[in-house]
Amino acid sequence: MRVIYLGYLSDLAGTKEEEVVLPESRAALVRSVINARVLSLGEGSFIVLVNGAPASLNSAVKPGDTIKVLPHVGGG
Amino acid sequence: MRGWTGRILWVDLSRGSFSVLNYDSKLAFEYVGGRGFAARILWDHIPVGVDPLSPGNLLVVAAGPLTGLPGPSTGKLVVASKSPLTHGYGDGNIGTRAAVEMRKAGYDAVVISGRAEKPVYLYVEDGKAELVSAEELWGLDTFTAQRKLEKMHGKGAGILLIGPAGERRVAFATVISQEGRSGGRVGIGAVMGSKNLKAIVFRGSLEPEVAEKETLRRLAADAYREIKRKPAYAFWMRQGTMMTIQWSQENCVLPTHNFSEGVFEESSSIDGFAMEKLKVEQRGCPNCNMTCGNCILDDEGVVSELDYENVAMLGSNLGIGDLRKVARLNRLADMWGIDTINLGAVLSYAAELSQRKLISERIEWGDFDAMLRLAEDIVERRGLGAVLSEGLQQASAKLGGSDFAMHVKGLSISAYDCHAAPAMALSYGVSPIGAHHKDAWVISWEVAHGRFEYSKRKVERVVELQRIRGGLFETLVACRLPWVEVGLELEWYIRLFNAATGLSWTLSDHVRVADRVYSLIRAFWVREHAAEGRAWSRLLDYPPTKWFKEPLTRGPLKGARLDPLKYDEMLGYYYAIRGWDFRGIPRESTLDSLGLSDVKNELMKYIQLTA
Repeated sequence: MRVIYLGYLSDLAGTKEEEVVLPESRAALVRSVINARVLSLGEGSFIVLVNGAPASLNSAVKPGDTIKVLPHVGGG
Repeated sequence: MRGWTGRILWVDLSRGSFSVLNYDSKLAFEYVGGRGFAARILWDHIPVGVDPLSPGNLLVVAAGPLTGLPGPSTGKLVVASKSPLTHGYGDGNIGTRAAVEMRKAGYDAVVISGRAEKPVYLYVEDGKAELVSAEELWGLDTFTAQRKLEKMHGKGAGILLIGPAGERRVAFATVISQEGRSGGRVGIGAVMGSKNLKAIVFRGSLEPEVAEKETLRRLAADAYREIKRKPAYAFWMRQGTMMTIQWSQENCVLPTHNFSEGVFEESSSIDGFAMEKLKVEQRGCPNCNMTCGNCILDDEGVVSELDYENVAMLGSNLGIGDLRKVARLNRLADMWGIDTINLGAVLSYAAELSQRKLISERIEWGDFDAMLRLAEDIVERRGLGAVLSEGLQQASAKLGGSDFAMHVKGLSISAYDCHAAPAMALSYGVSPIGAHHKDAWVISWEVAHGRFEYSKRKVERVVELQRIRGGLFETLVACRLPWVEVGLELEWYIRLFNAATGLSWTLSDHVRVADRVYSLIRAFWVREHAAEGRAWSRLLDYPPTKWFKEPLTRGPLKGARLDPLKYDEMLGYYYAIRGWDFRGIPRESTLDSLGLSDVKNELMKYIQLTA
């Protein structure tokens, strides 16, 4: 599955996008596939989308899914 | 009293006279500054029910106790008036050298009444003030007039001015500074125009007295360093608010085609990465180390200063996917002195009218040339443009389409689609100036905490943000972006305030001020509506009908729309937290508890209050 980091989270993760292969193609939770440095910011510090839909660190993901991790922004 | 100069300059343009109000600590401690001062002054001193474009209306320019002092992003001021767009309380803030120079000239605020017989500008320097003929400046765009004034008064002068839109009293004309800094989208530029006031120029060499100068200097230096240490800082310096284009697209809230959709297929052509490739310059406000004015050359090769709101409203919302063309519309709006958010909103409303065949003009999404011609007509007040120049509320009363006139209380929605964001819709509904993102930009929190939920915790979050963004920052007066964008802790601002004033306030003291200001502003709206014979109702706190009736047709959130009953429940809970009754009017007990008994007694002359 693809994990995409947006905004400054790509600086923190050291990559804009990475391919994560789940062992034996099993389902997993979002928290298990996110970069550790991003995860260390703590739940609620970023926004998770799975295939474009709102999700959380505890959402299940499967091979082929796209996870996007977005920072909070303040909106001018 | 330290931190404040304790002086407000009063100018009567009709008589050409000046006076100075030496105010005491009561005003300072109860209202702090900026929006707080403006709301109290307007409540006390405008003739009730005044026509906003008549000489009786007041223009207030107000700083706060942190303005111009050492500290992150303290180079801001508030401009306020009774709004010609909404006929309610209106304000806006601007990051400008004028904020710093006004304080150095010896004043915390300037209040302007009357109307000059001929065009003038106000010149204020070190406690002295004069009115100078502006007949040679009248008719000039804001960039040209700024340069002429700089030539006369030096590059260090702080200048606020209007362009042709303000002179012609377009209802959403703004005040401009430094060729691209804009504020007062509720029509403060039109108020200046109605007074024949082209500009205000400040120069000063005085320093506001502060309580603990060395502590303040050290705190400021530490705060600047702390900002640079934040993990979001480097990316912010690359894109500023422009990063929000991509963010909004991903979260399906990017306003598209007059807020019909939340995704735009050409978003990557106008986002922060597209901007980075074209960036030629970065501008900022005084005292700021996270400058967010990202400049590119527009399609005519002229510098244009971009941010999220103007690119979303003049880009995706109009279906225009060429950033350099968007930049031209933006730059022209700044030169004319007209608000980019309202401009984008009336242009997209006109396009939807056209496509529904409610007007004869043909305006297609993405038709830049048609949009540009119509924008010029708005500033010139010609044909359809003349109707649109009155703003969405007035225009839709004449042309129809009120369901898709995207405003609250007359002020257009700023750049976030709320089909699937009920808390943000509430934030627009109860913003103290009409729909605006400044006070409670809750949408980022909302999408991470139960996107489709209608809940008490969302309402509580809206109130919490209003108290900080619309209260603390608007009264200090300082920019909220170091806190919201890179995470500079609020405690820094409390400590800076205490060092400047010698007080020992906590955040809860500022929250009490914020609550007082919010209820005072609400009282202002209710009084002015009553005096003008306009009915007040909770429906005035509703977002536009389109978000309830017409679901999204594209993107991952296809089918989403707001639920009116659940929205109304949230609104009722908001009133309960604020101590307002079912109509959204402050209760007698609320006004008493906030130290506003005199406001209660005045308001009761116009409308029956709930105990």
